[in-house]
Amino acid sequence: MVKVTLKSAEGDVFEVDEELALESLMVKNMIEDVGLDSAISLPNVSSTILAKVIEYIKFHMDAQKDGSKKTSEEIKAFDDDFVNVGIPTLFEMVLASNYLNVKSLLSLTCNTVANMIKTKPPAEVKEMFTSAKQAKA
Amino acid sequence: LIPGLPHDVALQCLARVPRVEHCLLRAVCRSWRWIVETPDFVEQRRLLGCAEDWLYLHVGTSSGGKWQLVGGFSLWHALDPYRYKWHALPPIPYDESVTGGQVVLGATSVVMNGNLFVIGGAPFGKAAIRDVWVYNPLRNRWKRAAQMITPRFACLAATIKGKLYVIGGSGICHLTGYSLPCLEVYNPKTDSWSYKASARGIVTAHPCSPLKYIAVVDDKLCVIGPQNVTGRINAGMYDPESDSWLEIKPGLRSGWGKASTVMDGLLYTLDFGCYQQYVAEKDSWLPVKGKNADSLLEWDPRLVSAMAGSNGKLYMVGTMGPALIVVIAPVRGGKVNQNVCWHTMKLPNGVDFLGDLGHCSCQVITF
Repeated sequence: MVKVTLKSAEGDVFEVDEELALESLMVKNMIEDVGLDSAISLPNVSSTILAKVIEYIKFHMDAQKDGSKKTSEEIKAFDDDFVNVGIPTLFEMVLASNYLNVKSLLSLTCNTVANMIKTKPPAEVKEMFTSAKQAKA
Repeated sequence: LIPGLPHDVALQCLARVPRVEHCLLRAVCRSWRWIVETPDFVEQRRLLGCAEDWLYLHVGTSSGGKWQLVGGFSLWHALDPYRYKWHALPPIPYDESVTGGQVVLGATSVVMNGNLFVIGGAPFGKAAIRDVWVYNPLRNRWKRAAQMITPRFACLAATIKGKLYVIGGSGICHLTGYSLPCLEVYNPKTDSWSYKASARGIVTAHPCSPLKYIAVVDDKLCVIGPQNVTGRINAGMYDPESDSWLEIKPGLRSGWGKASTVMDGLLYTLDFGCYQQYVAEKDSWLPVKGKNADSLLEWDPRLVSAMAGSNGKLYMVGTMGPALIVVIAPVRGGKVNQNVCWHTMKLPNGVDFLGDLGHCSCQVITF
């Protein structure tokens, strides 16, 4: 199995299967452009987030494989648990999946943001997002 | 839009919020209020596949040849057919000097550029009015458009290539009035009306036989009335290109059920308890086949009130006893490709009675 080396913002190196890396359209394009010889650096993604993204892709690739015994409930439980994080982390995951162009993860994280919005009264929504910004700053 | 997220990503998040919550989005802050009114937002929802169909309904009953609005239904209502939820639209801000403070009956509706146009009508027993009101579902607001040249009650309207054509209707509020043969067209770019070739001679303005159906087939306007005293069906076809009236094909003269609609360029009606589609090459109506397409057979087709269609879904509104029925048929290429769904809708607050629907305006707006 061919391996691809990904380099996070902090310079940490992640070695993953090529099949897994190709799930990110952005990485796929980079591989097509520069080949597999050098590490692909992802200056916009931190190590923690990159690890999470890899975990997500891995889980879903395994779940899609023939002979996988995972039920749709298990997959949903994984997804729910995966996005059950604070707003700053969630936003970082939205940004990373947008940057890496991982459609399924972008759709999952954006839906999570949309769900947060729709269940709360407007004043709370406003406060939620402004406090998230302050926490980050 | 959302602090910490770039504009396009934030837009993707907001576009996933269901339509019923859009009023909440508008209340959060000014930039959100602005974004939900933009075409970008509508386009993003369409791209993400989360655009929703809502039906816009205005319902009246007819008893003893009189027009009446069902109690509480004096307002237009939006119906979310998948969540079974009604939303009352704000009242149309008619001028009191025009309506005398009375409810306006017999207004005609049509959807153009994602807006709902409400055309003409009359207060009970009074002369018809020339008012045209435009409802913007993104802003949830009514706006006045230029008035028609002719006042019309219960006229027919359709759009061709971004222009709105209006024909028929009578000068006063009366169910069995005659039909005005004059045709006028509205250009939204200039917000103005102008007369086009009159249908005089082609469509006889015979009292008691008002024009009944309108449809756009092949970018031409078809208008159909009932049989006149000589047994001939009042019908004509208007070609906007040449501004002239043509003979209508024999197959199109008849076969129209109680309601009809045009979706994706194809004309549908409901007749003999079954959806029929007009096939231009054969000049005839053919039944729409597919998964339980005949499920309507046991149902009385007289109870059908209105049809509308959008993005491969045909909606039919009718009554069954005191309930309002909405039937959703996913139709593509003249075939029902998924199960036909029946929904019995609870009536909106304040509406307790629904008999035979004498008049029902129904339109779909998707976003």
